[in-house]
Amino acid sequence: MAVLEELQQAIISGNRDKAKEFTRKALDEGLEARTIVVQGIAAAMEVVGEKFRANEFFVPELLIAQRAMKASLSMMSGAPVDYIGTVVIGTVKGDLHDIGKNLVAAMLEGAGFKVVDLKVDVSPAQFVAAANENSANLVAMSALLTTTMGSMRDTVAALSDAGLRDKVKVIVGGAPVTQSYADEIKADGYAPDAASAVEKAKQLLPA
Amino acid sequence: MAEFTVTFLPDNGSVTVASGTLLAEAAREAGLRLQSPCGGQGRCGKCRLQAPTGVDSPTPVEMRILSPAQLNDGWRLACQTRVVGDALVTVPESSLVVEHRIMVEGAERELLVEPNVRKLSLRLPAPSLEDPRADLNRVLEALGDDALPPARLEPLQHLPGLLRRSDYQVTAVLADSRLVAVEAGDTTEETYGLAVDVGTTTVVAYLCHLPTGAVVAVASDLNSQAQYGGDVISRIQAATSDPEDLRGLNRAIIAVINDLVARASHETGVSPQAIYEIAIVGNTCMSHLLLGVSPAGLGTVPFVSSFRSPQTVRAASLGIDVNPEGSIYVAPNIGSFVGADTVGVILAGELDRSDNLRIAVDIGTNGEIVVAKEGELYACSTAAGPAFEGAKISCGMRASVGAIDAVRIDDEVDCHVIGDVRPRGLCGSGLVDAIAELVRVGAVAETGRMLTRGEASALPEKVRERLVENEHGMEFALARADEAYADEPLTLTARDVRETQLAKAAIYGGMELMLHQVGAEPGDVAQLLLAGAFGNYIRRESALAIGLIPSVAAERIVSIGNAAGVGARLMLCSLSERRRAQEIARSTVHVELSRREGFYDRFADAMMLRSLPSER
Repeated sequence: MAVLEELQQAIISGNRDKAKEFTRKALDEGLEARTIVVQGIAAAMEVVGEKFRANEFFVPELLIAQRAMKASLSMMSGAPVDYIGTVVIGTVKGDLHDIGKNLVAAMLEGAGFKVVDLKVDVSPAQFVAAANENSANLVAMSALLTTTMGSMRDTVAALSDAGLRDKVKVIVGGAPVTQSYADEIKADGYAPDAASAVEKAKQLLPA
Repeated sequence: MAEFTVTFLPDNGSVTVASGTLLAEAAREAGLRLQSPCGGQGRCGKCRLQAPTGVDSPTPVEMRILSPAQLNDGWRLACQTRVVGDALVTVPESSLVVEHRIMVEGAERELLVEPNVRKLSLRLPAPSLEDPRADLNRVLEALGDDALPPARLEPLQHLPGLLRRSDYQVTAVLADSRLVAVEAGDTTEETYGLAVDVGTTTVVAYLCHLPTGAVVAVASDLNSQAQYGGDVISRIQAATSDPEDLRGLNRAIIAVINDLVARASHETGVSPQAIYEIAIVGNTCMSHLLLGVSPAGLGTVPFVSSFRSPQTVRAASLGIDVNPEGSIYVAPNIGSFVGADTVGVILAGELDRSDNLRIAVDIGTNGEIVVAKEGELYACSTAAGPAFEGAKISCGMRASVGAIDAVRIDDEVDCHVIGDVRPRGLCGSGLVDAIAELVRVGAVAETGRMLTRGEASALPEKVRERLVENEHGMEFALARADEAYADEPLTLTARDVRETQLAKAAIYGGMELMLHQVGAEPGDVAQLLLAGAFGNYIRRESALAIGLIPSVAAERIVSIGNAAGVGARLMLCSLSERRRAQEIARSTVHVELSRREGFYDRFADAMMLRSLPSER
């Protein structure tokens, strides 16, 4: 399936036009959407994630790869896709920083997760409601301010109060957040960057 | 509770502290100023010291920052380590805050001297049976109809003795037409004021002779609030979570100002008692902490300040050691993260009187950006982070002795070092230069990726062999072990380049969006003003080459130094400038960048290390 390899290359190098072209070609060749997503898009984003962890790629490369990935994904809309899990993601209450959160959301999407993005300034109650409505497996929270990261603790507590804590895993990240803070608030995982977030999410949700 | 003695080497200072006290606190008590850019959260590793005995076991935080070998050698982080016995601690020089270089010249401009505080020499007739007017009436009537009596009791209490002692030859001190003090003899020449720029990192004070507006002394120091955290958010967090920390932050900045007053006084022989007015600018958080007002609202959405208008308080009520009847004018702020310092920049650069398009950026931990077009003013703040002030960069330091502040790469690497010593770190202007040069010669790609030695085959050999790969990735040795301070190589890591990309993207992206706000392109900019110490030392060509600022012709870029401080001086020496500052604060539109459409989309382009915006 040379076309999928070409699609992968197009996404990894961030070439949006080529990504669209090879997605179209793959569909024309009769490949199933789920095959294109898993063996084309997700495989490419995994390579992108690896390069990111190896410090070969950084935010600019990630951003252009994501742009190509989204172009490809958008051509798949309507086609049935098997998601590997559902993630509710947002920047916590009091905080408007969304660049990191957007990166993580796109990486998760590229890895085959269904992503429900609650955007910014998301209250614990909004996280709980969205987790409920979407039967989420994972809640991902971002905070960029030491003054707002306390809301992560509140959200974990709200999930427990709503009886959801054994149904959803919680991962946290953002500049002031650390592994020890994640442990302290009883989150299931911490990720220092977008690529590790995907890895962590996959670890937490065994297929 | 048990108490123990902690002795700090090499200075041998020792303090007695309660069991469980953090070494960072003990060091502070011993008068040592440890680096603490992360605010004592154990993230930056810059407060490391050797404490083999008398302390608790390393925390998990320290185990992440320090290697097993270092822990074995007794290396600890002062912000994490607690005293549990008599301790002997060795503090390396690299963990101490050192002498620094900052901008004290600034952009000068003309001003009409008309200070708020005036002194008038009075030769009063002595009372007689024919002229039995009361003492106070005698003074007020000599001052004319619009003079107001003192608002406080103390001047009146001093008056009877003073008049008789000085044989009715006195000097009246008026602030805003109100009598605030009476002095013996003719002291009109001894009228001084202080203009202060309270930065998150650095505080600068200008002692000014009010009758002429002349600066007679400049003193500066680091803002000792840094012990609570290097950035504004960590100080807001500290002030909000513990009222004692709010008081501590307040006392810290008052102590710095008092120290600057004492130094300026010592240098010039001007008595602090002759200082009757202080005008202060700072970012909004600094203004809050100076007045002891909680900045809690600034820490979280919707980011609301507690006050915006100028505040005037008595010196004595703030504990500032000048004349107790002197007044402290805290300049108005524009919004939650655009403060009185930005008002000062606008005032100094006269951006409020621009016919053509001008843009100013004050590059620091926060980058404040102002755009002026046809009398309209827009301002925003971007969180550039402390990369340009040395934090978050592995070999980063502030612009002080030992810092590389300029870099050239040809067949070899040529670094300029402040103080002509062996380099011990890299400051903001050196960082921008180094990256611009590495991109130019091809050691770093425009995307920010540092090449391996194998990939960089086109580099001159002596430059190429400075590329080193280790377990953390690529590094470039700006100074090899044999060239650097303490024989430790000084390297710029691939990660450092990435951190700089994030910081510069925030500033560039902010400037681009602000231009967009007024429907302009970089080509339309008539003048780009670089404010702040960093702006003064930075090489314009390097800033343009890495896309820190938009492509504006180099001759249109002007460094205006510590414009915030100049603004404070203007407000101190001239009431009309003060009114103008108030008008600026009132009329400038505060733009909240994170809510702008398109910020995220532009971010990828803004991160590229090339002249920006890219040709489309």
